[in-house]
Amino acid sequence: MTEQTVTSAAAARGPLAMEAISLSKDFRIGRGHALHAVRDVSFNLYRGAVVALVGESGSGKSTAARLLAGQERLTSGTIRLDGKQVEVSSRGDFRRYKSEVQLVFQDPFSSLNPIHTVRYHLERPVKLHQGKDAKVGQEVVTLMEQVRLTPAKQFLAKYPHELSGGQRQRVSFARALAARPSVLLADEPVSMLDVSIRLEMLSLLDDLRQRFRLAMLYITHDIASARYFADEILVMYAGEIVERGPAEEVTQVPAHPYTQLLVASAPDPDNLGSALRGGGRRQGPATASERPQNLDGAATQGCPFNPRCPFADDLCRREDPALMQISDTRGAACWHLDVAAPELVSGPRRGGDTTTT
Amino acid sequence: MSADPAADSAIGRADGRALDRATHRATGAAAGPAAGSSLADAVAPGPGPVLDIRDLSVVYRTPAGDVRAVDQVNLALGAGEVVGLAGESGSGKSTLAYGACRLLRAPALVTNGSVTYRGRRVSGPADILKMRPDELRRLRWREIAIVFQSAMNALNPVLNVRDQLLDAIHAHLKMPRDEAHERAASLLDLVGIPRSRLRSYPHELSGGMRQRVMIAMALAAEPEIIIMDEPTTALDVVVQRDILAQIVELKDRLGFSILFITHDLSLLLELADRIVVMYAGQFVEIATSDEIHREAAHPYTRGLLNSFPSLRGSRRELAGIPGSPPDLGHPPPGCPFMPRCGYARPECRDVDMRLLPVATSRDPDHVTACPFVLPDTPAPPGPSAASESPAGELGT
Repeated sequence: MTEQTVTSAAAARGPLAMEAISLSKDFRIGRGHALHAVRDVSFNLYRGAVVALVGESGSGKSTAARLLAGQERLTSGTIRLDGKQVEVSSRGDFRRYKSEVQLVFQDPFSSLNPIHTVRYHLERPVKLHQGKDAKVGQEVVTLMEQVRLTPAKQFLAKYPHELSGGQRQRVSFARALAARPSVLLADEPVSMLDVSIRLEMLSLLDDLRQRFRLAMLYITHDIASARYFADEILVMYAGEIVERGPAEEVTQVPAHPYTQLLVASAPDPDNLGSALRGGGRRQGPATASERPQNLDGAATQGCPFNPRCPFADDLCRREDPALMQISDTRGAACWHLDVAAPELVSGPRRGGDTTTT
Repeated sequence: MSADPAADSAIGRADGRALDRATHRATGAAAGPAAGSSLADAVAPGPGPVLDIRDLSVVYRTPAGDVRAVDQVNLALGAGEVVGLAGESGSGKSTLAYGACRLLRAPALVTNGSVTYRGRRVSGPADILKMRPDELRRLRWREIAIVFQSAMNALNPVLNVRDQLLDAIHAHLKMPRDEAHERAASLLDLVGIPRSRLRSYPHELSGGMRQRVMIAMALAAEPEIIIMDEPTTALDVVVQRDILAQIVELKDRLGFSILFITHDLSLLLELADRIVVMYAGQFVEIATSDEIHREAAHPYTRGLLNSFPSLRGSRRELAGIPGSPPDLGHPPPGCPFMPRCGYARPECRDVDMRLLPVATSRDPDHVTACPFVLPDTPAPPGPSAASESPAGELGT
């Protein structure tokens, strides 16, 4: 799959920070079986830009983040950081890598150590990553101010159980920033939080992105938040990227049938007429009943979405489509884009095809 | 609701089986506060709500004093109705529901109120808060079932699906073995899981399937009321939508009522008939979903509405709700939302949080606890451009 012809919509924001080139990760399960969690995934992260990785649970998005964070060994593929291939072979290498690339986890309830205070959680990475001459105490206070945990003094001695979910997640952000990274991988950073504070956390992340020119990977299953927060959206299904493009375009005129399903499934209060309360099921473009099949064997034949796809035919069951270019910045992996998204692909034949806003 | 044939047939079916139960319950109902109720109440659901919560207060007793988790709330759930209870974590929405069913343990304490249950199968209204343990046992699951948030933790990992369902069936219904087996299988049919899954264990099921099994279990004894406590929060959107559609379908078919608890107001707008917005243990606004969507009055409701990014329509300026909920051990005087409210003014300290009809609304049942802000009050100056909801887009 050589989709490098598609330029990232995030590229305009800043210089290239990290490249993921044909990443694959298989998990062995039992004898002779493997789960292809990530299959031939390529994308770039740019300083000061947000790339969103969107998909359902089990689509491989978290595994992709863990590969980039060095938490998981690649089965194949290459990761480059600032143009240099990443090779982690010693503890020192790993620590140096970690000082550039940090990961924030989904669950602030389990990612902080319950027996340590906020001060401990923040002092440790400062000492580890900023060397002996760092003014640790002052640095910790600065970090807490950056994530708006103020007054800092009040929070330093607290234990995780004394903090709300939002405050805990702020500590996680501060901990990640303590290493002064250039790349921040945020794995569902707000999905465990209340709807009312999600926005605040996202705007905090956005503020941090600007202030430190972070290259950010935002992993989520909520494509609506990706619309607001990200520059580019990558839609992942069964370990593959099935669609990519500028956030606004992908959410407003989705090309791949799976993206269309995701968009149709999002709660839509502005469209009460056709809502659930009408009684029946709203017919999405595809059904949700099947689970993605990325196990070894016959199931991996063809496009991974074909069992759920309304447009699937023999070709889809036989061959897995590569990402096909739709425009300079968009691509989708589907054999039947002409049927699934006619307004996008049949450019010369149709007038007024750019329905994006 | 009761006009459609599906609901009628459900009533007929339930009545047939409930005769023996009605006699059982007669003594219990007589002990209740509303013992003098008319016969008509016992026969048909009538106009009275299935569940009527009055002046309910729940505190958490702590060494530092009482934390008022639920403060004098009134809530009625009609037959076949879907009421949504929305609020942030810690607003008391789960405590309210569990308190009404007497599922709370110390240090939680119901200090005040009554919870009247009027089911089709029971002989008369009865106060759940005054029930004896054996009466409670008959009420739970048979009349009021609950779907818990985390299906992974709520299901027993060492029992397969069939045994869990049988467990629920045998605990609450008298039924021969083979009939119970058939019922377990047909429950799975109801929620759209193939019967081949009867022998599966919870870990072999996807999150969505587990939640469906939970719903099947809740349906096991054909309850009148199902309380759903964030049933889809842990699921992703596609599965969530599927399950919600299934819930609505089952509700229309079987005619139960739903109390749906969630922090996601956008879900309720699509799902609920009526929405109750809760903040710091009190109700701040009650209205139909359409009213909430088109003309939310309370600043907190507006904040919630402005908290979720929308996929459709033009991008709007989103604000969220800055700050965090108050400490309920030491609640501030007046309106508890005041410190976070963009419309706040000195008089807010004297607000008594009584729910009054929204003056400009055509719906007299649209009530709000804020006496100052109306649906057409312009958004306060500052970064939080609160009410941007496109009022003109919806007809009717």
